[in-house]
Amino acid sequence: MAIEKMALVSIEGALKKVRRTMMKCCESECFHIIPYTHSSENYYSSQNFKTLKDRNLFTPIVKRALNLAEGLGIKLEYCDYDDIEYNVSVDFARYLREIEDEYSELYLKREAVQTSFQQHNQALYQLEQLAGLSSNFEEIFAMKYIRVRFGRLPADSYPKLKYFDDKPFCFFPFETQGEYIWGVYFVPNAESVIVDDIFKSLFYERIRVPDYFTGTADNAKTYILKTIQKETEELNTLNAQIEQLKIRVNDKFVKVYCKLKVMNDSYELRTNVSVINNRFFLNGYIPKKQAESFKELIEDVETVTVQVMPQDSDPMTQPPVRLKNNWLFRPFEMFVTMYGLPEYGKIDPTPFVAVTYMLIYGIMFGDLGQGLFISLLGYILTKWKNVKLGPIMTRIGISSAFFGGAVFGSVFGNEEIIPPLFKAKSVYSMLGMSRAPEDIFQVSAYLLISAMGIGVMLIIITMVLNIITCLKTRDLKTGLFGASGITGLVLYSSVVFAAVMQLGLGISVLSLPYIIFLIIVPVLLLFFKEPISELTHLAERKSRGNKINKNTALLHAIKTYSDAISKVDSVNSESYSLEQLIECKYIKNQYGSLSYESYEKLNLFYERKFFFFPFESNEETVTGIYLAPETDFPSVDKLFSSLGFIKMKTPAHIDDIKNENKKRSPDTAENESKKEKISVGNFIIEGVIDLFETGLTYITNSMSFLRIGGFILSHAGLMLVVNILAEKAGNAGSIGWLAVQIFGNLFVIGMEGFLVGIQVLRLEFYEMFSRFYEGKGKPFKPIVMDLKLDN
Amino acid sequence: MSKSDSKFNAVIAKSKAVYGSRIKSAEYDSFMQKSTVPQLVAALKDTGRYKQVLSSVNELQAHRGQIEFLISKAVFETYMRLCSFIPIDLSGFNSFWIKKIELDTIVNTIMFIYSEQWDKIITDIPSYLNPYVSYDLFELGNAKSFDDLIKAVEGSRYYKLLKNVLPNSSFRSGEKIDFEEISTALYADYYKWLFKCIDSEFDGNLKNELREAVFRQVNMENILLAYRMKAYFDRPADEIERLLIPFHKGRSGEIIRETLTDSSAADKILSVFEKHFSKGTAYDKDFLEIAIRRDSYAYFRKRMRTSASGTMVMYSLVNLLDIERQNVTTIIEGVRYSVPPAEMQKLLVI
Repeated sequence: MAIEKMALVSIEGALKKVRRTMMKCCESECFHIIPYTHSSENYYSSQNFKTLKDRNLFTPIVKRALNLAEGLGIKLEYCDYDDIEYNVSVDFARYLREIEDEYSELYLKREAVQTSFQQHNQALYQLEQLAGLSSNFEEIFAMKYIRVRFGRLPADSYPKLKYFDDKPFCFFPFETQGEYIWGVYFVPNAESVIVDDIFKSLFYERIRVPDYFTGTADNAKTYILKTIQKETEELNTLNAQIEQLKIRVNDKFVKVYCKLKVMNDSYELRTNVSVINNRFFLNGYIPKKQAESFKELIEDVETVTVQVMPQDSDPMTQPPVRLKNNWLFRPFEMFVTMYGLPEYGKIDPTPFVAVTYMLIYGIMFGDLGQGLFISLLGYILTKWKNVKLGPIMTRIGISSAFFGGAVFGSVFGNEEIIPPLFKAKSVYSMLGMSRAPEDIFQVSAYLLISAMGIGVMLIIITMVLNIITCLKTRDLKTGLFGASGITGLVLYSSVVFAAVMQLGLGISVLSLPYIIFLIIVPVLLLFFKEPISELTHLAERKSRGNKINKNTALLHAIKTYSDAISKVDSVNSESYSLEQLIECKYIKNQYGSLSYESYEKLNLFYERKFFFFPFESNEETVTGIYLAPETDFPSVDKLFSSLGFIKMKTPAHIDDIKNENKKRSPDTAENESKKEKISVGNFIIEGVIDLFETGLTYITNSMSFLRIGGFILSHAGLMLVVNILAEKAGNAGSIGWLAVQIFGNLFVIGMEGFLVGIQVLRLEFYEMFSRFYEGKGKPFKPIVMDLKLDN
Repeated sequence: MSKSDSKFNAVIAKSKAVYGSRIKSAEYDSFMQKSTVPQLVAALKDTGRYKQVLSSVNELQAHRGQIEFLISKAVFETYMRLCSFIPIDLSGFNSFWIKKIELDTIVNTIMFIYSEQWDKIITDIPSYLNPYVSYDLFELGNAKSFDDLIKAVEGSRYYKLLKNVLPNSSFRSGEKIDFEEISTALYADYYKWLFKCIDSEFDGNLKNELREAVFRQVNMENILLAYRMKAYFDRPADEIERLLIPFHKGRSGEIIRETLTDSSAADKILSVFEKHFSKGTAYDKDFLEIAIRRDSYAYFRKRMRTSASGTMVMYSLVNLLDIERQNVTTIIEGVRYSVPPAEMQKLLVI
């Protein structure tokens, strides 16, 4: 019930074995490939690494195979291809050519007949449009000085004909069909070129009346019908021959295609491979438990070795995430994935979602009969259509049935078969009632309070989860002083506890120490969380930033280049100007931004010849400029790209940057005081707003859970309406009664069951996830061959 | 027209539904893979957006111009369907698209008269606009000279304007006219009308929202024009300034004016350009027009999603549909002239 443990693997071997290795990786179905990056230790020795980017010779052959498969109607699906001995592109090409030759002969014949068939059908269609024409075609075409053009004109163009009233033509419309008007125009021979151009510009679609049209339109139609029949027979014969060819080649073709596709795809993956001295290097993640079997499988290839390392060995990449849960919780991974996977090493919220979803759904839609129906429907949908929501429906249905039976005593809305819990004497007397309530509406106040109680408990649990996550990831600011951190938890729990004791039991716990230590102190901590965290966590961040600022990387870089030595002194003395550095002849720079995580990773590359000068930062990004010697700039550029550096145009005036930089410099006393002055005002406003927002969020989040009680009542209300309607329709057991009961229940299950599902998901995502979960993980995507997609 | 239009929720819902059926990236990819226009037309006929308007087109015989005409018509029909939810006043803001097509038609007519391609005037006339147009559309089709054109628009708001900007009766074939200047005057009048409508019909947030959207369009067009004139033709500052649509928001107008006199103005204009782009928008200097359209696309898409005003949502949607129309037109032309899909991709606004 967690996140699958991953291991980083580095595969190395002779270059000629790269294809075989890639195929093995695909076969393993557990290898998540990542671009190969060189660690800082071996950087200098590995500058000559190259990526394999040669042309994939299999791609055009795959296209040919797909065309052939489409033409022959072969269905491509994955199968074993062990007996196919082709290994190079030429073998595949030769095999395909043999089939293509045979197929193309039949295809060309079919095409010829098909074209003629289509022309005749088109002619038939035209003849049908000319059905109203009583004149003989011979007579029309025999006209010596007049040309005749049959066709259709877009209805939009028809009014435009009046522009050409002065031109010598006559247009006779036959009929309007959709957006077109069918007709014919007559034009004198001498003017036909001009008039044809006019009609063409109006998008007139001319139909060529074939010369075999003789007599009236009816005569021509009979002739054409005969020809079409003959051509249909010819087409059937050719199609049968093609079908025979397909049956003959089908099995082998599918196997050949599978192997070809696997080889093609593994070739495509080569772009992630780095090569040096005829040896290839490939990195990726695999589930830790499969490490041994994977190693064994890959090392089966001669000269190839696999090194299995801890997942955090490469600081440049974030391990991918595959959720691992038991059969009960697994279907709920869908909801977690919808929101975003957890980051590697953090808490997987699936079990929490599964338990709370089933619990809340069961309470909100508690009905034994309807719950079992939903469960059964879910089971059928899973088995029949493999619907992903099916297993969830099965589980929440059972939960609904449990609560319906055990608590609400509701079976398809009938509360008389099983006595509801609130009618038990011990329960209603505990609620201070002298006799059993008649229906659930009489205990609605208790229901709503209980709903809120559930909400409060869930909010407290999510706060605890948040604290655990923050402590795990050392995010002390949020974990200690956040609204969902320890401070928030103490404040929220104390206020809720005091309210429950005061309003519920009439006991006042609000003593002075209680108010001071459990309410005022947490409020103050929330208010002053920024300065407090500045002194602890942010100060740490700042020191890391300065560490980068003052590292010796640039000095190291500049010293290598004699021309820039004059600038070195200024760097050493720390009185250098960025403007000067930017103007250095042999130093190139790039302005842009990168994430704070990537900024921190820059420390790992202290040996690299670059210098990063941050201008401004917020919680997520750092904007700045990096400088590097001209000759090293491409590799530095690549490094920054791999860290997700977003390039931006350097602000127009370097002076502006310089000034801005000065403004932000923490070292200047003057600026410090300025910052102080600015931040006091901001601090108070922001603090008050933050505090107000936190308080409001506590209240609204807790109130939000009232919907649990609300839906219990609405369910009872809806079923009451169904029962009243059923009684109006007839006596119990009559057809009318039964029909209303069936349709009423189906309606309630369809509408309310669906609404409750959405509402619970909303509670999960908004009220709970927002407190402890971010969902920034990357999914584990093992490389596989997708054979179905291309067909 | 009331000053608030929050009651036009139907327009918002309908617009979002229309936007939902937009041509998606995968569909554009598949269009670009087509090797002939008939194949492309067949593919367009399969889309929800153009299915109806292209239903009776015979793809084997369809003309490229006809398809483009029908696609423009589809945009107009969608706009008119949306207008059925808002009481449209032909002189009010919501007739913005009708006025835009009216104006485009006049500008095209001027161009065709000048280049003596009179038949093109007739072909290009959007006959579907006839019931709504403020001048005699078919009289316009008969125009053979600028005088004819002025006569055709008599009685409309364009009459006085065209009389001022078009050459007088003494104009002879072969003489030069400053087409850019005439076009600027006409579009400036359009934008002036838009602002006037916004100011008189709306107030509060909606007014600001609409003004910002229109300002943004004007600014972008001005910057692009200024950059082109400076970078490619090195036209003098005063001449360029005369060609700009005289509405600017913020400092962009001043900056353009300041930089025009500078010898390195083209680059400075680009920097102004960047400031107006949404953060992170990448662009290529050779495809500035595409970059502008991409930026507008992003802007209107955001407005579509976030605005609570029916008018703003409709304005955004129509602009988005027009961008989509231009994409399809680009692909039709690309397929017609066998442009590789990668090249076409560069010109698409997605």
